[in-house]
Amino acid sequence: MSSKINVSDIVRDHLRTLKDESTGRVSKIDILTFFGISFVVACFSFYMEFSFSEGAISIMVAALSIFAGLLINVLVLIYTVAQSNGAKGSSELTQRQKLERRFLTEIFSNLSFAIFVSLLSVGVLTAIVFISGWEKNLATAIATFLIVNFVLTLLMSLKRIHILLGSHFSDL
Amino acid sequence: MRSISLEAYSVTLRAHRSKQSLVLTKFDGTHNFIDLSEKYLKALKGKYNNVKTLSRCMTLSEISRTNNSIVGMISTGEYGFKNPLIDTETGKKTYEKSTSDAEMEPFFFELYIEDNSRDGILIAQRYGQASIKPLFEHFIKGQFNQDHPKFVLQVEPLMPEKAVQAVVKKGRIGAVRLIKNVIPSDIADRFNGKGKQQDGEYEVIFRPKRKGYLSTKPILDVLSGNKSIKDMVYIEGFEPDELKVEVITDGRRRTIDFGNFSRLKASFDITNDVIKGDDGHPTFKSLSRVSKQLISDIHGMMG
Repeated sequence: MSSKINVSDIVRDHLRTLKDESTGRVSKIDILTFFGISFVVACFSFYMEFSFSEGAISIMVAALSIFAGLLINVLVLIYTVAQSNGAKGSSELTQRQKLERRFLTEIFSNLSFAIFVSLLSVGVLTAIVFISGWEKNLATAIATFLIVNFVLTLLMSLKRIHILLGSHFSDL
Repeated sequence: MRSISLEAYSVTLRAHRSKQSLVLTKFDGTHNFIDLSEKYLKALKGKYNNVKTLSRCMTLSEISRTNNSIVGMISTGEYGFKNPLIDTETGKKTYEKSTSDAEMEPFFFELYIEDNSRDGILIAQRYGQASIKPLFEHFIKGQFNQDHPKFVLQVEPLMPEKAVQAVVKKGRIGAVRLIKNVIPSDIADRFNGKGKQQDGEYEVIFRPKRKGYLSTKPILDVLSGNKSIKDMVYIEGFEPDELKVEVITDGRRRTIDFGNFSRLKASFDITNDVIKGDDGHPTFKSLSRVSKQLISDIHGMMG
């Protein structure tokens, strides 16, 4: 398969942001929050044989598609903020600038992952329409996992963008 | 006057990608590391080796071998800069040192490896700010890697926990510093929206009064693992992450970082223990005597 559709770097870079900043190690609380909660909700939906109606599927597909498009715009915005921080080499940056650059990189990774998850969710939701039986329940659980994970990642990205842009407003 | 000290390092060998230290006297089943070191060093005798990467010139001026140790003097000098040399009695310039001239000074070293041991001890002289250790390590590693590329030679500062305990027992506590890091777990929380970073550290320092003292027992308890830092001092709302202790031994203040033992150096001031020769440098015989005593003490500390 072509390496052009290999998104493993996006997943890896996002997972690397789920660390405790004070220790530099993987944060178990973050893993539990983003993947644990999603997994529990998905398992619950599978156990309860929960299913989405066609109307609900179409609304979710539309919403996720719009989000994906908007988030791509936000990626461009992040790029613009990074440009406005200057194009200095890392040896010329102050401690704060290095921290901000690292922060921007993390937000970029989080948003890219959110876009990937939303596209994946759209694909799974679309597939649900065409299958039935236990496979439909499984696909519903997977879609639930992806949607919950997407919402949590979006919340994290929202907080980070709020802080990032807020810090720049204070410079005005 | 510049101080003269001897610094102790541990010497180990391992195979590439292995964490296991090898027996130095037959690391590949055949070769003895101390024999190899003697061979490399003897090749320097009567010749000047220009180590361009360090801008230093070196030569071997003395060497002596026993079964378990090599003792010697390496003369080395830095080049790359000009300096006038002044006669201090007349105040007149006697020579202009050029950028290619190197002022050679003798430095003592001893490499000691017991039979069937996985750890050797390197004693390297420091004269003021200058030490022979970087050059010695660079030279020996360079030669060794050429002959035995499948093995990795490591030279690390020697300050094991027992030696730290010995230092704490022998000295007195100058200060105890308890440090709490306040870096938040989320990088985003290091910005507060007002352009100010939020992280930093809280530090609580205990110092004895002028005629008072701080007990070494709590420090030794933490070192031996009987207590944690949090057991040592309780301050409501303050749980320290790090402990640093300033120990004063022989008039010298040394900071022991309990989170970073590997950065400590076993450095022993011997200025008053050696005999100066006519050239103003300590004699080889007196350095050799002090080094042997030091190696014996280190073995005693390490038990």
